[in-house]
Amino acid sequence: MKKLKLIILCGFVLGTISSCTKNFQETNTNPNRTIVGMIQASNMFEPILYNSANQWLERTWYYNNELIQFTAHTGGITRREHLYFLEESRDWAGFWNHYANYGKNVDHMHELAVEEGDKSLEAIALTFKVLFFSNMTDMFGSVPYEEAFTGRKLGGTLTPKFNSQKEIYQFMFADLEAANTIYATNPTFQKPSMDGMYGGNMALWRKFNNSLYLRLLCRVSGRTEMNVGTKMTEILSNSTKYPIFTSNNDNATVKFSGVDPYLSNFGTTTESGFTSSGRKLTNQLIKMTVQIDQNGSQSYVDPRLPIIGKKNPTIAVNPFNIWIGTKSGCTDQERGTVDLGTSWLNYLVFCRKDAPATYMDYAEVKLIFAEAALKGLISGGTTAAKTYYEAGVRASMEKWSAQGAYCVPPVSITTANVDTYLASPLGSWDLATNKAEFLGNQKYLALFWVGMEAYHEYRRTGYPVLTIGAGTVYNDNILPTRFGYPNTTMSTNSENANAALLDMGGPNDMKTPVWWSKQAIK
Amino acid sequence: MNLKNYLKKFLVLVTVSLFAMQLWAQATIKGTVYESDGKTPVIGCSIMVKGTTRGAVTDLNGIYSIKANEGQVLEFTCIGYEAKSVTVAKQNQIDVLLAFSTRQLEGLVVTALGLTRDQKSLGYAVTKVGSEELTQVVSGNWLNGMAGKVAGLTFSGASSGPISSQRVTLRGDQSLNYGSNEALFVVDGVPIRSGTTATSSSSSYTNSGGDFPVDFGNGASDLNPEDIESVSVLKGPAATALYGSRAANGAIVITTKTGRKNKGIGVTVNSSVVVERAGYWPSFQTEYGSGSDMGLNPYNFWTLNSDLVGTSDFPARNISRYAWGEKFDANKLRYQYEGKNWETGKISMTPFVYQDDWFTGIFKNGVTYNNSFSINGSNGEGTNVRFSMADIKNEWILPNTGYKKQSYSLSFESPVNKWIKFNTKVNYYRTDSDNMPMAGYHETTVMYDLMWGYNSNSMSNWRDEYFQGRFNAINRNATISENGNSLVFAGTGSYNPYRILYEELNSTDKDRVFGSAGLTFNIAKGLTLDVKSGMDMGVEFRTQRKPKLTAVWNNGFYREETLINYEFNTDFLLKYQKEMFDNRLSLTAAFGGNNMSTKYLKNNIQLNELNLDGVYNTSNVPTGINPIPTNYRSSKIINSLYGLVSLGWKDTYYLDITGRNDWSSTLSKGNWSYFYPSVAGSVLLDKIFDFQNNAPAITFAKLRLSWANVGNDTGPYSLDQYYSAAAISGGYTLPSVIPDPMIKPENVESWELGLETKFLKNRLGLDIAVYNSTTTNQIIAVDIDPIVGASSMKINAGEINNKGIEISLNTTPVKTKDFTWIFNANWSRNINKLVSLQDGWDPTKPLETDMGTTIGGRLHVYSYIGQEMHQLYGFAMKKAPEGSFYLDASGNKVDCSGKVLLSEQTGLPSVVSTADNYLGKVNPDWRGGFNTSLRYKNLTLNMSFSYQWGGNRFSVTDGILSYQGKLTNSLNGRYDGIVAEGVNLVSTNTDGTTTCKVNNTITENIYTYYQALTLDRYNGEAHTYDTSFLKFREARLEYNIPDKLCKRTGFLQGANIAVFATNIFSIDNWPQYDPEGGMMTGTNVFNGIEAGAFPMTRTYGVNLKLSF
Repeated sequence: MKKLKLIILCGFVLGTISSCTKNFQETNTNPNRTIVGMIQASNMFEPILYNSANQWLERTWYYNNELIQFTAHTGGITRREHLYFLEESRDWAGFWNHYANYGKNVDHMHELAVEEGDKSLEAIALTFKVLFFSNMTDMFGSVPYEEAFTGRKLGGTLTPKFNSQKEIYQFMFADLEAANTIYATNPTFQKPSMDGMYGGNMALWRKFNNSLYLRLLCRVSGRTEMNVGTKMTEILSNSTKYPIFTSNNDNATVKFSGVDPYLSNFGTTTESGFTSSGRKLTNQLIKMTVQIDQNGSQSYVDPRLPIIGKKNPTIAVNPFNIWIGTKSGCTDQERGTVDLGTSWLNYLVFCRKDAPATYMDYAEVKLIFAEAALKGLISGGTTAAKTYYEAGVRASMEKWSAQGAYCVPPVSITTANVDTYLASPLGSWDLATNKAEFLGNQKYLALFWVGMEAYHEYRRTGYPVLTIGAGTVYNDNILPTRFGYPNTTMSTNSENANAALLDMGGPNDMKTPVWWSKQAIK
Repeated sequence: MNLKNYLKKFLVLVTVSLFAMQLWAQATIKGTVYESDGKTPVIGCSIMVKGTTRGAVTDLNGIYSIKANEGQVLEFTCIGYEAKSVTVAKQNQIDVLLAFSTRQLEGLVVTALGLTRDQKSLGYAVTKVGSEELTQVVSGNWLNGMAGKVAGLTFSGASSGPISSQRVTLRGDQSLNYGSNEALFVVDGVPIRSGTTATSSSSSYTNSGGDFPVDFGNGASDLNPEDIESVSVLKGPAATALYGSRAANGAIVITTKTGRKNKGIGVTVNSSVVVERAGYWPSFQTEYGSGSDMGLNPYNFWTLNSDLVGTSDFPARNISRYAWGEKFDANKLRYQYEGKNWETGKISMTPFVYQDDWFTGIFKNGVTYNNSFSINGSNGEGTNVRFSMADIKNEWILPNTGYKKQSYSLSFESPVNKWIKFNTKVNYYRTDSDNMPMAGYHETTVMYDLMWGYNSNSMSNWRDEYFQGRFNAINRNATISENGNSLVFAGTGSYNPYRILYEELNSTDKDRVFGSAGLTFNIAKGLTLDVKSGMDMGVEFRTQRKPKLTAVWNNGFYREETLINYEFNTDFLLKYQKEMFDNRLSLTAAFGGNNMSTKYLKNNIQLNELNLDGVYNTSNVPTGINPIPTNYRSSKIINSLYGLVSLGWKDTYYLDITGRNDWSSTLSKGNWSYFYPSVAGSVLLDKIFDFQNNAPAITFAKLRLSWANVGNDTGPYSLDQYYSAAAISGGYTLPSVIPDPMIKPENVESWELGLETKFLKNRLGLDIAVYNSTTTNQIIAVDIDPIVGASSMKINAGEINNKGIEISLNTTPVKTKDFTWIFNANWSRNINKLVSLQDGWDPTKPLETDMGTTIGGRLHVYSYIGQEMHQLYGFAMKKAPEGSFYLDASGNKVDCSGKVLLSEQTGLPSVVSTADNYLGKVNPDWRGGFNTSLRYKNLTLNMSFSYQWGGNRFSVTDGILSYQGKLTNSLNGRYDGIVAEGVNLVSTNTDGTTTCKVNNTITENIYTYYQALTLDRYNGEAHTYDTSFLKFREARLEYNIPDKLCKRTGFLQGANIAVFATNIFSIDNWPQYDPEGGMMTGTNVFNGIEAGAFPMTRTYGVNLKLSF
């Protein structure tokens, strides 16, 4: 009996040992997710297109508008971006991670597309890559480009070298040229219904690619070594090789269907959350869009203003039903008074489930040429500049006119309205004394609701001349010249990050100018 | 498994076994057991008839009675006394004197693997907490009853609801994975889930997003405290080496009650009612009313016109949720919310006075009814059974919140034959709640609404507004329209606390079964084999509802979620015990194995918009919107083999050696297996130095030393890169974490040295332990720069060190027949240091472990390499730099470095530009507790206290209320201005010094001074407080109805009535509520930040316990 028990026992023990790792691999196989590498490039496309477009809107609203004085959150102190209260963890890291995150997904889409031989997505990945990287370098200065995103691959690096902004621009131009070459072969976009921007039309993608090229050329036009004029002239003269936007139909605009999950970013935001409880239009914007007559009354307004903005409807605080702007950068003492009766963003236009998001539009292309002509980078001089300018404003008006349909009652901008504007002191080329400033101001207005462009362009041109409020103490009354590298970058890749800072010539703050900026060039 | 059937079968079994018990007719022996003085009765002395399982226990007067035959031997044993045997002669009265023992001082404790060990032989720290200490006060979470009672044991909650979850840690955090620092809970040898359960992974403080954690109570809170026999706290890894890596943070080993040992049937009924009241309010100012213009314009809630008020002389609307308005005065008449006649629409003026209940009015008395019943029986021959039921009903301090709980527990033990014994324990718990409120600071929480209320509006205004149907879309947008206004504030979100409580509901319905069944084989003398299977299975169904017009969820929200947790353990343990060499050497050897498998399943469906308002099902979704399913399942296996050798020499020297090998499915193939050993030794100094004769005052002295090295695995599916699914079907994105497929197991190495002493015949006991433990090779997701392709990487990195000391003191200053006074105290200190992080980490940069450690980037809980972990950083006032001075009246230089710098023109200070000012450390310097018990005859008074010294926490509640001017801290100088304490900058000198002058400027802009600067909500310095405290946690007065009286009833065996109270007072500097606790983020509680915690409550209760 005893022996039998012991035998059973021993058998039991041995049995246990031998089965110690049975079913382990099966048990540790993830039933919830797909292993990286098992999908097609096209599976990456939609999240990149739609989600980044929504992020674009979010950042425009949250940062660009506040920094560049389209709006100011004076209805409380929860948001202090207009006072340059920008922090490492939320703001710097937020931007950095945003670009890095989309960048890495685009990089992966490129990788998959090359593997599969999907030429259309290979080219689109390159265009997107430049779109994200250009914004990243414009926000931060030097960033890793060549060695970015290799960390997740075999033999990659966790401490990528930073490239200077000049190098990055050269790399981006090469990538855009490469993409343009692929687009030229007119590859097939496999599932056109996926493409909420161009419906798989490669010709339009190609126009976007080259228009983006133009935008970036313009950005570095202050750097003579980049020979921007030559390239711009080439683009302008060879529309077969470099097709660019020729109408608002070509705009790089992501159209949300409004059907879940294709919902625009502010589709469910309330009016108070969006604008009326805090973010108000500023004096700066009102000043540039409203004409005051000798009696001090508001005699004429930019036709775009009633589409993007809304007057405060409360009679008690806005008895004359006029456009009132708030004071961006106001002090805490001023906050209570400057906010009174101020105008809002037009909730009906922006907070729709199918409100579009624009990466770049036709008007910008025309205004780039206007500036280039004015500066002599391309031929035609002032006369051509005026033509380009007027076409640009017309395009901008036309774009917003389409959105005016969502106002109550609907607003549209007719050709006659544009003519009036172009003849008015607000929009007349001929009446403008400082043409460069006038163009800068007009571009600023045209870039409303287009990513961080107005902020980038302000740092390049210095226009419009902004009044920096006394309340902007959080960056010592200096409009941030760049965003700082986040802590994770500084702590895990300090050697390369510090080398980059040394190269840019300043500490890791929001006062060091970026390479193409007016401040860095003078 | 069909639970009902299962329960039914067991009930049948109980009944049968009770009937099966036979009765013998034997002589009854009675008597009294005294201490050696012949006067003091020995209470709780156990008497057994040798060779049988018959037994009895002495009562409070030392009296016992037992049936025995002539010639049988009665064995008297009692902890702390020498055992004694008496042979029954022809007598029916046997009185016995017991001598104090120098052995068996502390009795037995349950250690790892359920091994019952003599505490004196252990080479590591085990603290035992008896059931009486836990069941004294029952409301909310029974774990609260353990706070302050065990040195080194830390509880932290977030004051987050009726069953406020507790994070339980021992001897500090060992892991950088904040969520894996909790102690393991083991019930009757079976590990159970104990962690916090909450929905959503966001923190209790957010500026955006609308998904907030709801605290559904932690797993360990499910237990019915009435079922607990004892709790052993195993602190170091040496104690837990045998439980495996999961117990690397220590283990709380719970033994539940079994049936009685002696023959008979006993029934206990226990009933209590506990009333709970919110208290410890912030210091509200009652002098100034709503407004934000310092009373410049009269307060006016409404947008008026002459039709509404019957005059053309009316003020403009002037309303604010701040309290920077006019001074209250009953003679001032103002157009207030309550002045509107809702039938006619006319608005009239009412006196402008402070409303006492504007904040506190929503709270009511909470009540918990707890009824339990247990029956136990034994046939006197080894078969025993116990069955208990408990029913708890809680109505919490907020309307329409609370929970119901039922528990059933069955324990059965019976010999199968001479060699085999069967035992099983089954517990079934059911918890359901229609609404568990959401805590935290967010527009969808009640506490947020209260903080942003108007101090000139009574809470009844909110109540009326909600119940009279005035919370509606028109009113909601009315702040700006001409339709009239309501209290509903149309800010970024709108709310009414009553609407939150009655319509934004979070329900749970949880069923949980855990238990085990096992066989014990007595193979040969000293050789036994235990085989046991245990299971813990939980099914929980939760819903979360938000109607339309809810903050963030403008179009409503609905989520339902099913969670299934399953853990199965099968183990065997072969144990051999032998005494050798004339009993000088005692040997225990054990060898065992365990197979653990867990499965987890979560099905979640979420609607981000509703079609019909107020209808909650997963198909009520508008056209164009899709429900979002999120499903997740995982499984994991760990197999283990382990062994233990324990040697004792002459009852003086002890040595334990353990070894365990685990195979975990979560690691890569080459790393599946890992081994970890432990060694523990102890010597009884009293034996070596013969204190009994040389120093009789020292009754006992033991020196112990232990070392252990414990390994740990990681979570399932950590070895590959998997795509994240996007909301767009067919869309994928790259993961944010990249793994290291060759990840190695973690390693915790620890030392402990302890000295345990007893003096004066056990009247005084002192236990001191010092320890040092280091965790290396941690499996953590370290931050990497996202530009490399992922934002974190799971690797082996980092080192944490915990060093500490624990002291416990147990005294019995007075012990006579009628009067006993017991006093116990403990004190502990732990230093938790971050030694290193991943290679290449710049040590000047802090580690911020989680979003639970920051307030929107304005405040941070940072850990720097080489420093103690968890330190608060944030904004502060600008100070005079080092080397600043001013000249006093007689021209002497007075150093003023560190004084607040004030502008000479305005008298205003300014705030530093970045949130990197050191504000204090989170972890306290030391903490502990003491409790005392006074017994006079049948009356006992127990009191327990806990305390903590050092440690800091940032309070969001204080920040929000302060900067709105709602607290007394903003009264000084409200209208006349003040001369703030500080200095004005005169000049910065070339020698690096700074010349200042004492500020004389009157600060006139008081609004800016307080609201935007000194009391600003994000001013970390202003709202970070020391969390030192002394809390009077519990008092309980208990009366045992004398046995004589009970007996007279003919059926009552014992009766006990008690009244009790908790949180009687707290001495601290904390501005409101509870100085302890943290902020909930996902399923973790992070210390260092309080964000919208619910008030601390005082409870009062009465309890009646009857035994039959």
